[in-house]
Formats: sequence, C-alpha cells, structure tokens
Amino acid sequence: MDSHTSNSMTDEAIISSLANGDSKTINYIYKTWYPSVEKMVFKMNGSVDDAYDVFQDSVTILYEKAKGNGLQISCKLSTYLIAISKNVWLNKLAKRKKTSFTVLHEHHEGEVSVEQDINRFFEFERNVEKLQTCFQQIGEPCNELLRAFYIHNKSMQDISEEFGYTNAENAKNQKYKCLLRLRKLFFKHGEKVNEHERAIK
Amino acid sequence: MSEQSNNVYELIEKYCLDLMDEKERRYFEMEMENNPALKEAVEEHKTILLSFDHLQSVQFIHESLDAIHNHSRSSTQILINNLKLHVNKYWKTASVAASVAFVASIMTFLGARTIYKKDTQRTYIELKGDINNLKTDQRKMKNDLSKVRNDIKKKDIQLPEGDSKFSGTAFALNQSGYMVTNLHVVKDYTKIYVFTADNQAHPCSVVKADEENDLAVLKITEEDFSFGTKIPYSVQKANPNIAQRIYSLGYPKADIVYNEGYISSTTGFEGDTSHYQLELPSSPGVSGAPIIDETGNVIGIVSGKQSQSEGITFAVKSKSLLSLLKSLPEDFNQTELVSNSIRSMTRANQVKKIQPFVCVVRVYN
Repeated sequence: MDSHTSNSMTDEAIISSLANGDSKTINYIYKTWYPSVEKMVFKMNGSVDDAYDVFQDSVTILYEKAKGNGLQISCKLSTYLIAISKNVWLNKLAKRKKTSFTVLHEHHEGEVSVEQDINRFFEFERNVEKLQTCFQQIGEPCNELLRAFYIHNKSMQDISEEFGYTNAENAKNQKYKCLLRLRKLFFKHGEKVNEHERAIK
Repeated sequence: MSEQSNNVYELIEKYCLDLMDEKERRYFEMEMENNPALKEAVEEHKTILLSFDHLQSVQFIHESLDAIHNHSRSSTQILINNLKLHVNKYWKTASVAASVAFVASIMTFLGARTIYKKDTQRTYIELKGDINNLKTDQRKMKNDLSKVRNDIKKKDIQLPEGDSKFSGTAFALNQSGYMVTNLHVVKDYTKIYVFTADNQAHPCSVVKADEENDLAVLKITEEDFSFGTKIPYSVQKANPNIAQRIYSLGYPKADIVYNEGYISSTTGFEGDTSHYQLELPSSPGVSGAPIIDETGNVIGIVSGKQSQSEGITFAVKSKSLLSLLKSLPEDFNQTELVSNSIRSMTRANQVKKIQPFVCVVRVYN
C-alpha cells in the first residue's frame, strides 16, 4: 500500500519477484541501479541513449537468468549488475570500432565471472536479429501466427478464432508449416532439412 | 507437407518444451541416438525456441523499463512545478489559523453545490461534498485530525493550509497511481490530494480531462507510489440491461461506504445516452465512485443524482472512460484493466479486495 516500505529489497527477493515479472521490482531495479550504470557509461565515453541501452540489455540478462534455473551468483546483485553493464558497454564499443572484444577478467576480491552470461546474451541477440529477418521473409500470415503463439503466448484456440481457421487443429498444422519455413531460412540449408524429413519418415 | 511430418514436429516441440512424460522422453531420446538427422532437427528447433524466448524477454523488459524511464523524466518536472506553487502560495499562512482550518479539512461532507438545469422541478446535483457546510461529531474530527497529522509527518507531505474546498471519490486505474474521478470534483483546483485507505495524502495532477463526460484522470505525482498489487477489478465496455444488479463504494463520509442497487435505465438525466440511471442511494462525496457489476467489472462512474428523489443516481458509462484512457501517456499500461481476479468471489470478498483502490479526493485552493 504505501510506497515507503520499498526502501530496500534483499537480493533474493529481487531475483524471485523479477522472475515473475513484477513491475514494482523492475521499478526498484531502475531506481537503484540506473544512476550508477548511467554514470559508468558516461565515464566510458557513452551518451544518455547508450547508457539506457546498456541498462536495458543488462536487466534483460538478469531477467533471463532469474527466470531460468534461478539466479545463482556468488556476489552481491549490485556487483553483478554493474559488471554485466560494463561488459555489455565494452562489447558495444568494440562493435562500433569494429574490433573484437573479449570479456574483461577482473581479478580482485569477490571476482565476478560474467563471461558466460555476456557471451550467451550476444549469441541470443544475433539469433534474434536473424529471426527478425526471417520473419520478414516468411510472409505476413506466418509471421503473425508464429508471433501470436510463441511471443504473445496465445492459445491455439484463440489463434484459430483470430486468424479465421476452422479449428485449433488446422491452426496447429499451419503453425508447424510456418515454423518449418522459418527454420529453413534461419539455418539456410534447405537441402539438409529435406534430408531430415526423409530421414524422419 | 504431410500430416505425418507435422506429427514429428509436434513431438520435437513437445520434447524441447519438456512436456513429455518419462517414458515418452526416454523413447524419444533413444530415437535421437539412432537418428542423427532427428537429433539435428531437435537442436535447430531448440535454437529457434530459445530465440523466441529471448525476443519475448527483451520486449517485456524494454516495455517495462520504457514506462519507468520516460515517466521518471516527466514526473520530475511535475514535482518541481508543484513544489514551486506550494512555496509561493502556502508557506506564509499563519499556523494557528491553519490548524483551525485543518479541522474543517478533515471533516466529512454533507453539503453539495447544486447545479440547476433548465426545469425547476428536477435538478441534477453533482455529488461532490462541500466541506464548508459540515456538521460532524467534534470528537471524531479531533481524532481524525491528529491521525492525519501523524501520517503527514511520517510522509513529509505538506498539505496546503486552509480549507479543503470539496471532496469526492476516486478509484485506481493501475497500481502506479493513475486514478479517475469526476471532472467537477477537481476542476478549477490545482491542489488535489488523494487519500489512500491508510489515510495518507498523495499529491495528484490532472493528466487528462473529458469535459463532455465529466471525467478526469489523475496521476499521483510521487515517483515511487504503488498500490503494491495488481488492480483486482476490470474496466470493460459492457452493455448491461436494466434490472442488472450493481454496487458502489464511495466516501460520503470519512469512512468508505458500500451501497447496492440496480440499473433502472440505460440513459441518464433527461435521456443522456452517455449515462446510466441507477436506483442506488447516494450522497455528496461519492462523485467519482465506481459502479461495479456482479462479476467485479467496473461499468460506470457515479456523477450525480436527481434532486427530487432519494434513490436516483446517475453514472457515466465505462465506455467513455475507456476511450479517454486510450489517450493517456505511454507509461500507462492499458492491459492492466482487462483482467479481473475477483470474478467468482463472494460480494464481501470482492469488496475487501476493491476497497484499497478506492480513495478520497480533496481539493484546495
């Protein structure tokens, strides 16, 4: 009820409620850490937009980690978040300068290993970029159908009504066709996919 | 593509999403060992699904943060402006006079300003309480006063000194402090405060006004304000019939009051199609109170009553509110009012859930 109880949250509480997508916790994370991230990016030659960009990516990493097998970090959440932000920013800087980037290894007390998380995140980012291109290529109906199911979590029943399929089964078949098309484009080796089909049969 | 390969993909997806039972999974894994093509297909499918997941997370975090980021910049401005007004106008008032005046401000409300429409027989009365004409139990007033003072001290919110001019009811539109009330409650006043159920004062600004339908959307300007939980009721466009049972929660006095009744006409005062006519007791102070149907959906907002009769109350239809909400700034999440978590609860439990989200609005000049 009152807004003043949120003075501090434990790391555990933040992680578990972030995993549930609690808006108050996201707000708390923003209030608590955005200023430090902004300051850090400023110091490292970034702009306001850069700082906000970096922060969004860092919170996304945190969210995905929390949602996954539960976040297990050996340091304080703030240390982790700052380390992530720093590496995200250095990575972006490197990309801008077209140089390669390797995750910083900081060797001091309470060392934080973020290498895996950062690399995983940028691999996801590359995949999503590829996915977006594929979405454009598979055509509007397929695009909408896949997004409705996989991103907006709509049920097959709702989708079949919304898209005008005769029943959920029909919509589901269409979904697999679309997904197969997407996969072919995504991995760009149509030949191989055909082989799969033969093999599967 | 044949039905059969669709089935295979269904199996692949089921495996990737971990939806298989133990036996099925073991069998599938054995298949995979013997069939490298299947194994590769599974790997590829996994990659695609993970990318979808990632896209979903990115969108969710970006939208959530955008709302906060954009809002935190604009609300700082509002706070600064409000602060300036306070400093200029209210700092100097004598404190003794102020504390006397304060008693008036926490009183309950009886009087109402009457607005005469064209015929004298029936008049339409706006139901905001006029605090200057109050007669209430003195002891209660004193108790309330000290309570309010303590709360104010705690929260460091400086109420304007002087009488609260009018009061009404407002209810929440989301957990972060968007509220709605009648425009006639807050119109022409710049110092608007919402008092939450714990009797804490929260400064508000009017973010959107709809003159035609007598609606005003308020926003609590404290940056970190939150009701703490999702709003239990929904606001949806409904086309209820006459005779449908409804209830309302409002503040005709310092404590919240429950009333129930039914829809007596789908048009309002003199055939106004944007309103309902309700058979529902109402008194000054309940302007802006939600009208809720049996399933916990807000279908209207109390706006006035007919002067000659006791029970006739008018309410603005929720349709007008919904179209007003579409024009709100980006940090207002439109989806929060769609779902309803109290649909199948008993009435008493519905009311218990809704109560914290219905507040008193007071205005000062």
